Amino acid sequence: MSKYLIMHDVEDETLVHNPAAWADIAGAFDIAHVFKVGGVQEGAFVQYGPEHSIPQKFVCVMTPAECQEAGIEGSDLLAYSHPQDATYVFGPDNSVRGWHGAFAGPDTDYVCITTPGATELYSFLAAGLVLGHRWFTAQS
Amino acid sequence: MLGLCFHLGDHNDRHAAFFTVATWGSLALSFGVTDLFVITQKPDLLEGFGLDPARVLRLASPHTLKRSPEFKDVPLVQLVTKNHDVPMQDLRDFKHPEDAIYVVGGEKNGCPENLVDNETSGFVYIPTVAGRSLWAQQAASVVLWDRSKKEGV
Repeated sequence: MSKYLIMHDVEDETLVHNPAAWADIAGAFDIAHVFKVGGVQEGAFVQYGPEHSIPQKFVCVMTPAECQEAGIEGSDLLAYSHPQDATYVFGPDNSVRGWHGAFAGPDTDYVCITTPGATELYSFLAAGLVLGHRWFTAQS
Repeated sequence: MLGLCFHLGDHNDRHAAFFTVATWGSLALSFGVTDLFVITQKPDLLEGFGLDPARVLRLASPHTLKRSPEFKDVPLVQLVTKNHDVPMQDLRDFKHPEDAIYVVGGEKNGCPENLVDNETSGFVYIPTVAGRSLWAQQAASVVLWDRSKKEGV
């Protein structure tokens, strides 16, 4: 079984964009591949392109505000049942901002992360929550 | 109170330190952390970041936290990797204290350099594939999210 993760639209280099953080979270939670869409190429990322065959079941990770803005009724992560084989889509930092038109479709799932505070999580932190939840629920 | 204590790391320049503090600060705000503690040997790197020392930023070590009259009765929850020889609990089974300070280690050793005794503390690990460690900020966010969901937030 393959498991995939995509991060997209990273456009500059800062600590929070560090590819090692994405590689580590993928390795810790059994994710086979990390792709990057758009922005500069850096580090261990593989630039996603049409030559790559990935599961067309997309799981876009968003904040509740982003779901509301996009008119999407997202699933709360806590209650979300993860697909066996899927491509997880995370957006640029300063926001999880996982919705992207290229991944929208009738089978696309939208997962919302709620936190007690008012600010949005960096996407590499949101990835830890989502992939951790996926791993924990698969083990139980 | 909900505290979070992290290591600033081995940064030698303010640019890198700024991004580290900004990320931790954002994480803390996301989860309603009331007190953010920084362990650093180079406090001068933090000057001028616009943080309010009285409310957000305090300089500390895990040991100084336990010695402080203000925090001596607050349980420390220390995030560790599974390969440490301490009585640790799986995060999934962990019952978070109402008041707590979560102590996260540096990126390199994955664990606080000087673990505080376990008399008033707990050690928690996050189950991962083959016990692989996470980045400190990722580990902290996983644990704080787990806390918020167990509280029903």
